[in-house]
Amino acid sequence: MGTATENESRQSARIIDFERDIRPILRRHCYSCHSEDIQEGGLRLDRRDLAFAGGDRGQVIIPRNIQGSRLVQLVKGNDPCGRRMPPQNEGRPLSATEIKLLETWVDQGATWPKNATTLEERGEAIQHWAFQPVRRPFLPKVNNPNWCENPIDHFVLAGLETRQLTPAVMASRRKLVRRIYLDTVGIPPTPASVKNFENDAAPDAWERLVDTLLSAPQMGERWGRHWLDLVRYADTNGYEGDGEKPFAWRYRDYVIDAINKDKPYNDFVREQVAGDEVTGANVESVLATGFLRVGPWDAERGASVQPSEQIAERYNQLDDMVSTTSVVFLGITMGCARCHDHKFDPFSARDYYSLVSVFQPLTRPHKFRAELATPAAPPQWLKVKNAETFPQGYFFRELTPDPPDTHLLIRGNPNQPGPLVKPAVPAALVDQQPAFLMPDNFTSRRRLSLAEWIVDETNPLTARVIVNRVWQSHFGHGLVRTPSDFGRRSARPSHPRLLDWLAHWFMHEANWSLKSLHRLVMTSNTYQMGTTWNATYAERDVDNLRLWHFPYHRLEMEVIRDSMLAVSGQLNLEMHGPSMFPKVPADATRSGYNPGNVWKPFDERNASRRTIYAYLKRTFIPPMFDVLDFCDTARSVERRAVSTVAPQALTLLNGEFVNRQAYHFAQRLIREAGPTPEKQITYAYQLALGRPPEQEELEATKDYLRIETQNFLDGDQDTLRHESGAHHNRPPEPRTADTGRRWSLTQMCRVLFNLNEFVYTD
Amino acid sequence: MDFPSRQFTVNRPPCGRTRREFFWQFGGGFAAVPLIDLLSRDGFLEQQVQANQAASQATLAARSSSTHFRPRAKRVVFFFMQGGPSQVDTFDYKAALSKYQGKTYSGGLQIGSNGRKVGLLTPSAFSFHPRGESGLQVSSLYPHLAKFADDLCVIRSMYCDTPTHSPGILQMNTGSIVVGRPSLGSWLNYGLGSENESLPGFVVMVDPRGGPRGGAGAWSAGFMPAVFQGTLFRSRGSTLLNLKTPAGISKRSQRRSLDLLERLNQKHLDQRPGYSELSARIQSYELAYKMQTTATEVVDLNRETAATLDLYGLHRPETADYGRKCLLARRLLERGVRFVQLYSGGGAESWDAHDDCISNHRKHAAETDQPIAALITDLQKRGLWEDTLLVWGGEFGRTPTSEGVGKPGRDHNHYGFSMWLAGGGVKGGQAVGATDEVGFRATEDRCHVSDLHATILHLMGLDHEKLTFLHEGLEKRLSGVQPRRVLRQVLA
Repeated sequence: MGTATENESRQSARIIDFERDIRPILRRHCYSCHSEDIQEGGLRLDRRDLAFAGGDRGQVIIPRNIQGSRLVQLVKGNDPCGRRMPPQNEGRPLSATEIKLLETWVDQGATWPKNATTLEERGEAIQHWAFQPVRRPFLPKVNNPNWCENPIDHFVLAGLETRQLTPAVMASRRKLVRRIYLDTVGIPPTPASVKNFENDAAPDAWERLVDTLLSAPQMGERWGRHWLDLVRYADTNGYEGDGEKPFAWRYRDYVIDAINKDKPYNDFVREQVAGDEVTGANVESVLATGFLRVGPWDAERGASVQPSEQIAERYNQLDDMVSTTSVVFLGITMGCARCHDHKFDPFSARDYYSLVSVFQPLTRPHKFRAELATPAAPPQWLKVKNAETFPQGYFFRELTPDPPDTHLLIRGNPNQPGPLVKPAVPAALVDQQPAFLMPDNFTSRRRLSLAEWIVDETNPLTARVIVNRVWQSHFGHGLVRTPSDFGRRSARPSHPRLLDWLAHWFMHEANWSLKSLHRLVMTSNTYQMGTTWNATYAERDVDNLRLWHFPYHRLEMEVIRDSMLAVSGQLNLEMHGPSMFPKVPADATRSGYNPGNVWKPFDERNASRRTIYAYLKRTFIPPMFDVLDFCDTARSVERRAVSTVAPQALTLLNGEFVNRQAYHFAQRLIREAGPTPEKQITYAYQLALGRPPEQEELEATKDYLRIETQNFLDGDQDTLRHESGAHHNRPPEPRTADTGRRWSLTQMCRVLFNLNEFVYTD
Repeated sequence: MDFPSRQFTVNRPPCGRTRREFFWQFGGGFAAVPLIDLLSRDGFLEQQVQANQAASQATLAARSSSTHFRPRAKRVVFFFMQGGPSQVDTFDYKAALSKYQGKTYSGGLQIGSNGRKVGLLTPSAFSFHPRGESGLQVSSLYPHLAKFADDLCVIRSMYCDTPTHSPGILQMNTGSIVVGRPSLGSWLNYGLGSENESLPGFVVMVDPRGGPRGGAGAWSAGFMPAVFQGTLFRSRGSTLLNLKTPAGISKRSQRRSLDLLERLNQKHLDQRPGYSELSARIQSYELAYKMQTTATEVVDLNRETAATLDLYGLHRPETADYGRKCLLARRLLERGVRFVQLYSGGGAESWDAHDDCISNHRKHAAETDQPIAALITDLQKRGLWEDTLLVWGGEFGRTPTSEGVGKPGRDHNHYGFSMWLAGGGVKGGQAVGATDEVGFRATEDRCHVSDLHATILHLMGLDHEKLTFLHEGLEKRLSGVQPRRVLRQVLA
């Protein structure tokens, strides 16, 4: 223990520096009750003058007088009243080292430099790159301008050239057409589409293909799902009752339609945050505000007769709105400022509660624990027209333009209201607070004011965040690999100038058109590179940060499922409307709280709609979704995880869905390719993989079919029955050469659905 | 302790790709690499080329890994009594309740949940006796368990933040009353890895009458990747979903299909050298095939002796289900499963004794008493006791008052309740903390749910302040942001 003593004596010997040694102690232990927002006992310890002035009970710091400095005595628990600071339950006691430092500081004269302010650290944080204005950089010079199809390529190539890397060769047309179909519309190209593109010699063949796919209605379903991940969409509330959110699907449909219509992103944001308050508000824009309500709700507590439970849940709701809005649109994490100033970013509890006050006026229509839908129309329409003429929708309402006051809550505790706060945006992101509009006759217009600031062209975050999300949707990773955190702990952008160029271009030239941005990305040569691996390059940039090849990545669960349906010929392209219920194993529903009512009966045609229309019950996500890395619905999800684990293989080999689609796929082959095995195999490859089989593959598959058919006839199959009995892929009776060929073809289809090539884009 | 303090690098290195993400792509099986082992390895990402050996490395790594402290236990069984068992009827003996019988509670706290009728102080209908050498008080509800009184450490001063089931269950499992956080089992597997690549590290078995209120949130991995979430094991029928080959397909036919799959996948891989994700996926099919055997073997109780089946109460209708679960738990623990959670109560049948606490608790205690005691006996016999931690309790307790005057029911109570720990690293034969005179509010050595979590992590060798996962810019912890403590009295 000699070392500890030595340390101590060294500490007392050295000169204490306030900012280095003392401020951190005060911040850690005292500021949550004695600083800008809260001054318990009238004491404030973040400002020099006020700290020395002391609190209600007099001075607390007396230079060169340890005994007389109550600050020191209180943290040591030596106060005459027997109190200790921080109080029990509100923080841990100071360590011996910390106390020693305070004592030494007081002993040395309690030097507190005059120019130090609490904003000092914030000032430093504000220098963070993502908080700087977006400026349009010049295109960098490249050695090989011929490679550059558009500005994106300039930035990417320049990055490669400075590191002596060259971009991978272009992908083949066949691979490109499959890539862009799966990426843009989420289903594989038909053999005819592949052929058309392969034979299209026109120089603008690729541009036309891009445009065709961007205008397909399935594009909104594919990209809409990315958006639904971000906004924690589901059809139920979660928690005990897990009650239904009536007509929540109208918000899901709004998203799909907005993307298909290419609604400018600034309007898309305005409508989701304040669609009832925007100029020209209408049914659609009001439905958009479902964004704020589709998160989880603990109805048991929210509708409790116990006020404390109700209030606590109310603040959880407000937190959900504040956190989701800031993370989705701004890429900043405000949630932790609920209880204390943000540790790493310049966001304070005051910033947080200022945002709370923006959403405070909203109320939830519900009757006890049951959620209610309301007529989807702007409030002014409801005054003059019969409400029944409007469709029902799921969103919050502002019932009065005069909302209640909002207080900062000390340590997030509703029983400890602090100072009053007014609507405002995070101070570190603006030089001057934007003007918040006055209420009109119907609503407070606070959300409208917030939305206008979010989409203002001077906002440093909004455009950067969305172009990065669009980039991620095409390349698997964003240019910033922490797409929902652009704060000080974010990953550095791999191509900072490209990010800024895109953000600037998106606002000023593309006029916030998402489809223009998709088009720009997909017509770049960067997007059309091959996936070719290069071991030398991999040693230098294994994560492909510099984009020396097109990244190879596994398809999302929705694309896998939709592709199987498309290939088997069962895909039902009906859009919109109430959600459908995929078949789930009876075994799985038993884990539900209310096993009998967890799920609705299976209707195959309806359940063969695209996966985005599947009913999302928060306490019961279909096991196939779950195992294939579907997102968590509790909060905004920035990117799907990609795991490769054995239960996925079990699901895709033995699961009911895959076996059912394999059966349909085989039937389709017989129907459309005729009885010859070669033709069936070739057609199967074309449908599933967008290419004919190579000779070796054809032979192996043919052998497999022959042996399987023979074994079928020899009675090799198990005759045991499953209690569920509903399996499609079961041996047909009677055993003839014909039923045998059908059986073996089904087994082959099952194998094709499990191929790596089927679930990975090239 | 040379554990690095900047834990956030674990799941977010500067290159943006998570080490975790990297590794589970190659694990093939259930996430098998312990966090700490990843930290101690430099140049981890460069090992990509060795991906083929990754799965076996991972398994080895789990065994050789270091922890923050010396671990006292390696695995956990959590007996979750869903609905909230009454502390004054089980492990918190309150003689004073007889004295105050029929009186109004006057302690100042609001009694009862969600406006339910408040009754009068009511003593337990069950008798209490000092048991074992320690004299620990256990009620007559637990004749079998009482024999192990000297092994139990009852924490009588538990409290949580809500008197509502679903958020209460979430808090007991994830530390938070709000959905979306990883559960204890996820944290343990994230921190320690699993020791068996062909079985999940976190297994949950629910009550056949239904799942807990709030459903899968209780075993969710929250913001962690799904590989860390609890896997539902069924005590009957198909153990794991989709484990069985579809009816009608023979084992040989399944093998031939897998052979064709492998051949085609291998050819595809040969044309795309360097993409180890692809070879990991090929391996995952082989592992799946193996699992069809191993995971089926776990639930095959034919090799267990009649005496063992008897011990667990498999021959008696009331104990058969929980007994089967406890026996399966032992078989899973033997095979290296890290965290097993067994629910008693679910759907409409739980410990939630609003109407009649006497018959309700009698029934649920009878279903679980013998099976839990049997598991203790069996673990002690098999040398697994020293490093297995047992945890018993529900989402909260019940009021010492009746629900409604003169009624036999009791309402929810989150101000004070009892749980017990036993096994690896736990000092048995004692009660830690205390409630007030009538058993309503925890008063001495108060133990918040998050303090319990901190204690459990400690017993497993993990520091609750250092086991972190970076999410939305913050290092999230199981024990949350408030200061929490390890209950030192619990430790042996």
